[in-house]
Amino acid sequence: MISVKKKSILGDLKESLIQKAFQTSGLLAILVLLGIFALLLYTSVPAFKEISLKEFLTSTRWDPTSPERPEYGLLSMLASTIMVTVGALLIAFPLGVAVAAYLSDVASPKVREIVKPVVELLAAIPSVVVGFIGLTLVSPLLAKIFKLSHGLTALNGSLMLAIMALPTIISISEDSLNAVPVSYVEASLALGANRWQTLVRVKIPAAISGIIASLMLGMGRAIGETMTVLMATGNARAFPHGLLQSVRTLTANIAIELGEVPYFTTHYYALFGIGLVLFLMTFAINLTADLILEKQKRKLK
Amino acid sequence: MKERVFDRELMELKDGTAALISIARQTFDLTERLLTGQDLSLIGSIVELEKKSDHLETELQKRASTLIALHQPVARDLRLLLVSMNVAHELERIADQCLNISQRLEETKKSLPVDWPAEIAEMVLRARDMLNSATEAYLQNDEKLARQTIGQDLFLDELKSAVRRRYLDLINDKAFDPARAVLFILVSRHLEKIGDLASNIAEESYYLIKGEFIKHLHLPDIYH
Amino acid sequence: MENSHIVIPEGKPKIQVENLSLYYGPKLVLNKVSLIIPENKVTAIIGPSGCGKSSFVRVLNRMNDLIPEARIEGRVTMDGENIYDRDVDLVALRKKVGLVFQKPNPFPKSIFDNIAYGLRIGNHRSRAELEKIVEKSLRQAALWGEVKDRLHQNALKLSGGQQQRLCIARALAVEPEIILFDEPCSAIDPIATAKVEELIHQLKQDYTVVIVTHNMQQAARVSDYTAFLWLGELVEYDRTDKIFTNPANKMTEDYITGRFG
Repeated sequence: MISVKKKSILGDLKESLIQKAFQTSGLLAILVLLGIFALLLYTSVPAFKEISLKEFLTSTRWDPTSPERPEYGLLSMLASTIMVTVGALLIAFPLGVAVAAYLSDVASPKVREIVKPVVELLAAIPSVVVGFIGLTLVSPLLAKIFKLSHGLTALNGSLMLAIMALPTIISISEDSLNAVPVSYVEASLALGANRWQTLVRVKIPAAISGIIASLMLGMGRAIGETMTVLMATGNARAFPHGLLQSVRTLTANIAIELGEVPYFTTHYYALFGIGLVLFLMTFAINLTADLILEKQKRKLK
Repeated sequence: MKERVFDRELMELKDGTAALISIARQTFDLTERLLTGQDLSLIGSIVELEKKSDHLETELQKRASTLIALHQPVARDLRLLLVSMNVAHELERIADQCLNISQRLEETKKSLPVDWPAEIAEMVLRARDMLNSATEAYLQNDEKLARQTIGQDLFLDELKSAVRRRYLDLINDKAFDPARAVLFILVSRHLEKIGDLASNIAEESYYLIKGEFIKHLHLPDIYH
Repeated sequence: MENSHIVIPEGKPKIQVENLSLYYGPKLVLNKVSLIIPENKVTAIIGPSGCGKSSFVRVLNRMNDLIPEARIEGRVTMDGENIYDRDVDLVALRKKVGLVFQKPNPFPKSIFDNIAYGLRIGNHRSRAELEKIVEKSLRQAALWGEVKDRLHQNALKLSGGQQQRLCIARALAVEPEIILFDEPCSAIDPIATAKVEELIHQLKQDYTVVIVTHNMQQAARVSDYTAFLWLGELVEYDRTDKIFTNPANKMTEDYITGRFG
């Protein structure tokens, strides 16, 4: 007879210790996140002793070093960030989904074995290298095509960011296309659909949440990117009126000014305020992406 | 090939049918002895055996229908169950007929002893042969024996008709004791019935073995 | 194979399979199978797991084409046309030959969109026409009464049995001539199974039905003809009543009485 009363206290202890260890590391990640948030909040609040929140968020003028009247409006830079990001996604998203569809549906296993690592390698290129390419290779090309004095424009930044967002979009889209049950594909083919119809009408709709999540994550990547845009976009402070103008994004602005600013001045604190805005934006985007991915997982179960 | 639990249950059922066959043969033996020796004390045993066969038949029917319900058999398994049910039923009716014969003798014991006409003596032999070979075909899965037995009841039919015709005529002519004549006619009818049932058993056995129904095999031309 | 017992069914032949062999890479899955499937009858394919029965139905609408290493020898003709000829239009073939899968696999779309799927990928039809065909297909699949008030609900919310009938309705909507069932009841409960079987009975008036099943009682209940496959070979093909009362081949008998497999 097998006795079931064999539970040992030592085993119990071990189990609970392991559980605690995992719990702690999980909590640590949350603590770090909260810490960063608190730090940003703490260092940006003093800025608003002198700057009204309204000016900060709605003024298009950013001129903190003006001797007469310093101005702290981040709207121009916010618009630039959004413009460069949206431009990047307009390029990267269709391309990324197309490549993902190609990889999951059309490519032979051999081609996939080559293309997938190459795509992942793309993600490993340091942003400074991408920026460098933008600065020296693409911007002169753009200048020539659009007959501009220089090519350091929002478009240049978008192109470079597109390159950086592509791997994320491709790999997450492909994963979610591959997660579509084979039974859906078979059912569609058995009803007389061809491969294209099956992709467009069954696979993509079934994987849509994952594809949207890839878009969101790509967006998060593009918004937060600093070095590339710093090198590729020309950094003009004016409110942007088109993709062919020089623009300065939020991230680029922090990078440019933080090195020069005297500590514990309103300017210094205002830069952290920009950081806080960026933090909240990327946080919101990543959270949304996570929620969408979670929904997709539940749906396909 | 797997030995199934179901195989054992089927074997038990067949053993039960074998027991019923042996009871039916004993009953017929006693009846035969009753007819030749006309010792009415045998009737008690016949009654006993008939009761036993009744019980056993009910038992077998119940068991077979349970097996069908629980195992949903097909092919040979199904045939064995269906055939065993039918064979059990026919055997029980053969025992009935034996009982009927003994009752006829009891009723007309004042006319006893009698000299049986030659036809009835032959009928007893033929009926016994048929019962033995039909049940043997079932027990041994002997297709040839089954085929040979099917339709043999036609001979008994002929003999019965002969008895009936002759003794009805004699009654009409007031040339024979009517009670005896009626005894002969009735006994011949019971024996003919036994042949009929034995032939059914042979047909069932043939179906069990071959999976095909067979009726009325070709008989020698003289009987057509 | 030796001792195989294969009859030519009564009635008009719909599908003729001649010396069909199927390989997955070097593996022989079906070995020189020949049989004739009659029109407006239900033909069941039975056999132990791995005997090639699912592969066999997938040959009939060329779903095996999806498997790159699948290779075929022999001929499969439907109404006299070899479906493995070069000029065969796969889309047309799959409209002619519907397939219902082992596990219910509705799309994660509404009930209506599921049924309309096959119609929408084909010719463009008006909304009214779509609605008519959706209703007709759902009625044929004995599901209309249960879903008529929630046609725009997600099909994945239906029970397993309802989902399988939905898949049948979806296959019917494109008006095929032949419907293949690949173990259609293996993932649904007995009551739902009874409904699907009842449905198959009715379908044979208008369609030629081929059903693969590992449930022998189901083959016995729904089919007119039964083929017994073993290790990729056709051992016996005969009327279902004959197979289940008096099979010609010893192996068939051992299989259907549960002595092996």
